[in-house]
Amino acid sequence: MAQSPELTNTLSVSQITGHIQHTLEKGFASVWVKGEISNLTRHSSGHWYFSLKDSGAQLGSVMFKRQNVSVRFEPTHGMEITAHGRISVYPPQGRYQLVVDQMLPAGQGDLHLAFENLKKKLHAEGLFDPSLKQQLPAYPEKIGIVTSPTGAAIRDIINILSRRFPLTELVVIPVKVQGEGAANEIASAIDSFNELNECQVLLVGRGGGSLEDLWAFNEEIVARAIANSKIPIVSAVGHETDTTISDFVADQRAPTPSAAAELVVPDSTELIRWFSQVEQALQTNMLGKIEKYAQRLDSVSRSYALKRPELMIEQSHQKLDQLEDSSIRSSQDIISKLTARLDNLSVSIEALNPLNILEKGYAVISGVDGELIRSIKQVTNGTEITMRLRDGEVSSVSSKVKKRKIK
Amino acid sequence: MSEKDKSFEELMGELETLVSKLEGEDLKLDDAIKHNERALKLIHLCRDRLDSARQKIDKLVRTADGGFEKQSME
Repeated sequence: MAQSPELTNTLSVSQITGHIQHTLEKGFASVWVKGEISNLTRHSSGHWYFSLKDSGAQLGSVMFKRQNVSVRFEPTHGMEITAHGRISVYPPQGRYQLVVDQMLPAGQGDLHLAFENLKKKLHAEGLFDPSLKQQLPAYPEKIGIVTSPTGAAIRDIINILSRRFPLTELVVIPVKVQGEGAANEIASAIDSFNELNECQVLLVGRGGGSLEDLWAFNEEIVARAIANSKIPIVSAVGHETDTTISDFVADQRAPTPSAAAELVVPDSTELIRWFSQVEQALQTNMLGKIEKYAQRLDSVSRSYALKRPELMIEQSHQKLDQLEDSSIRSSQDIISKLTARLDNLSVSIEALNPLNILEKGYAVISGVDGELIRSIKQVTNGTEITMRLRDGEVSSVSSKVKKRKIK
Repeated sequence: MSEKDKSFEELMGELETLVSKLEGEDLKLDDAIKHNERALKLIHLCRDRLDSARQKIDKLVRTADGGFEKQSME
């Protein structure tokens, strides 16, 4: 028998529903539920309404359009699935339901749960800690590659590495990347590279595939081998959208094997361009430095302290120059004056030479006694005279003497 | 250690250090000239290496005695 109602403890329907709503929605905010789909209705609004059930119970469920567009399989009545979502309470009808945001076929659902569990466990151990991430070398000499020898991934990786940076040596350990034993092979290849200890970085991965195909990279043994590696590891599994445990543990995650190859080496074309830029910058830089030093040298040499003795020397030089100049000039003067005088003298001397006169057609007249006849007074008719010409003498007798009137 | 034994990474590391030193202001002219010469030589060395590089690809296999053996993949 129930006790009689106590007014203070009595709840309204809304109040108790509120409590239930709070308890359920808080307690089941994120749950994985496995069950069989029944009564699936795809409403014209795009939302899906269905029940999840097993032998003992059923759970009303809804998956709204916004979420169900990303479901990659066709859910049907009777299908076993694993769904993720939250419990939501609808007070007007006193009903609760699972609001699903993710749905996987049952097998995949198991993998998904395993994935989530391992992720949680390794995260708790600190294996994803950013402080554990090792830095990748800028210019690796040798790169170790752990992947299938036959897949597209290895071809892509080799192509890109040889195009971008052929200086790097590649060492491949071929492994199975899916199926039985794949995880062990991958893990032991990583260990081998650490034992060999020649490579500066490792690429671990494979091309795209289904969740099952990629599963080896979600296994604990691989995750631990990556975490234990002293050599930095780039994980490159599947496509951009695929995420594996390896990606979380690796020092760097690449969305695809090709992207991993681009990530681990520089582009030598860009490097060569950089070299040219540096060469130019260095030249400009050196010229600038030399120019600066030259200016310093210049300003120091112009300073007064240094200038004084220099000035004195300069003045002495000037004086010396002047002296030299004037001495040259004065001796030249003397010579030219002397020369001029000499010239004048020689002209006069020439003029004074009587023989020069004879050259012009004049004659010198002398008497018998050899005395020069300068006037008619020394001559009468019949006086013997001698006329001396340029090239000889003529003797004659004067026949007529006539006086010339002198003004 | 001769230049030939130095890795590309070492040469690049030295080059990058020199370049950042040269870009700094307070360097003696002698040092600047010395560094500049060395940097240009390093560029030359690195460029030569890139030009002459041909990728070597090996497959690493375990031998019976537990060691490793490399086999060319080309």
